[in-house]
Amino acid sequence: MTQYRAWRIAAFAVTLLVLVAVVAGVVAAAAALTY
Amino acid sequence: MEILIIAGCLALVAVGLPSAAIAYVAARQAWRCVRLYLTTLAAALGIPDPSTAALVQSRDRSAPGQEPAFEHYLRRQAWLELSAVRTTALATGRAEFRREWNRVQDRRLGEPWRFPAAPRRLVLRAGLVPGTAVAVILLAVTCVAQAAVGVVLILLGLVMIGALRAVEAAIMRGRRITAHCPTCFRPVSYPSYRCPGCRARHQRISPGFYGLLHRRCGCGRMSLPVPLLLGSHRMAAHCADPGCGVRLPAKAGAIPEVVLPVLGGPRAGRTRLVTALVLTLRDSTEKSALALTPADQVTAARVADLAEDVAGGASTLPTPAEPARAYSFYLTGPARRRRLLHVLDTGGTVSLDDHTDPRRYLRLADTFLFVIDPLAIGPVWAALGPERQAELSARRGSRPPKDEFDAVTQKSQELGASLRTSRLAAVVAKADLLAGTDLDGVPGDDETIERWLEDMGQDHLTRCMRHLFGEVRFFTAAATAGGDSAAETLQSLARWLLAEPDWGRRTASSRR
Repeated sequence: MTQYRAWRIAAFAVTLLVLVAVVAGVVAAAAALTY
Repeated sequence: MEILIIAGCLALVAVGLPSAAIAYVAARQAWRCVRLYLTTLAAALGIPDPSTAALVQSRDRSAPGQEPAFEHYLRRQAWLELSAVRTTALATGRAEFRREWNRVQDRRLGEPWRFPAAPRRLVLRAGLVPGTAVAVILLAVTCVAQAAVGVVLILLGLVMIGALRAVEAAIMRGRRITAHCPTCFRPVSYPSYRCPGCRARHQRISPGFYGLLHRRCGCGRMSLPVPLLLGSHRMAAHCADPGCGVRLPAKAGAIPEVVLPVLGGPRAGRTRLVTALVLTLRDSTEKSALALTPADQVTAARVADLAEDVAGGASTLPTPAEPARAYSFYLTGPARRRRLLHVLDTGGTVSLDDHTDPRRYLRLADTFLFVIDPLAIGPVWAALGPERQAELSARRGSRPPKDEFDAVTQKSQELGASLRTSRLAAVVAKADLLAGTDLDGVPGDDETIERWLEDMGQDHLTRCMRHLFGEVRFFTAAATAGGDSAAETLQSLARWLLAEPDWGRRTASSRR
């Protein structure tokens, strides 16, 4: 079923980006607190 | 001193090793949770295999009030899928957590731990809890961010919908484009279209919940362009009114529209005049002339049928009183600008039938054509000899032109037509039939035709016309086709009827 295919791939990509951004944010915050 | 160093090393090992193990378990648990969410999400979204995605919306889109198209992804499907992913990932994650929590009790699953069971359990559980907590927080933030992105996209979509509709309306207004059904004459702001693949009828194709620029039919095969300006007019359009639904001419709603009602009593000669007018314009070879081509098959077939009768001098069949489809033509002027012309032959009973709502076209027109039957004028008829009367009695209208005119104008005003801003072409038909009689022939000039009508006792008719309409012009037309002078007369009539109205009048008419 190819219905919504592009939107679904975009949704998955956005989720990955958000996750990476959140992890990067947490790491950056931890680093800032540590130093 | 050595003892102290050894004790310190032992303490470091005693604290450091379990801490490292706990950190490892926590990181592993966090990664497992994230991986579980991502794999569940990927499966629900059909990545990489589209067959794993669930199609929540039914292919059968025939429920009342529902368009036979898939809704936009952000309208419902995205939220259903995210909700399903959360539920599935939560249930699976809870089961995995429980299994890990009790894992050390199973002696067969001791690896890779080398500690005794109790410390092992302590380390494992101490790592599971913070790892899970970190993952839950991370995924909760991710879900909130997903929802926020979705909401932002929906808001952007709503803005886009409004903007697209506004731009489309502005362009159509700027180009003076309107669309009306040629049968029921209701305004068709958004025609309905049939899917070329499955013939499903899409009632209202406009930017909205089913798509901004395109929508996908429920059959899944066809992607239909949404705004008219993107090419919807290239598909077969139908009247959006469920009670009508007739096919509209191609390009309806994409080019400006002109409505020309042809009014007059039964047997006044309306159909013959319209046919002669159409044939003259169609066959004209003048470069500066207006050119007409049928806009749909119905018009082409009707004109072809009528052309034979008119060319052969035979009587045309009476136009039925029931609502009829307009003759629709593409009208190309000298500047190559195309317009869609709807010519309404009113069936001769517009004044008598108060129940046919298609008469609403009277409100739309800003130019009217009224056909005067000279044979229905008492003094004219009386001036004919008995033989001529017997010959022409079958072609004589039953009511005087003034009665027909009063009924038509009264009906128009009841419907809200503003005649003061409209133009009227009054055409004395069958002028050639009066040649050779005791009467002076009907003159060919506007003022002299009016004077001739007044001489024939129709001064009350001409006064009424001048009083009611903003602009009136008189013409003559022959009952039989042929001849250069007849063609020239019809050309001048067509030029006057189909001239581009000025802005003031058009704006006034569009307000009606």
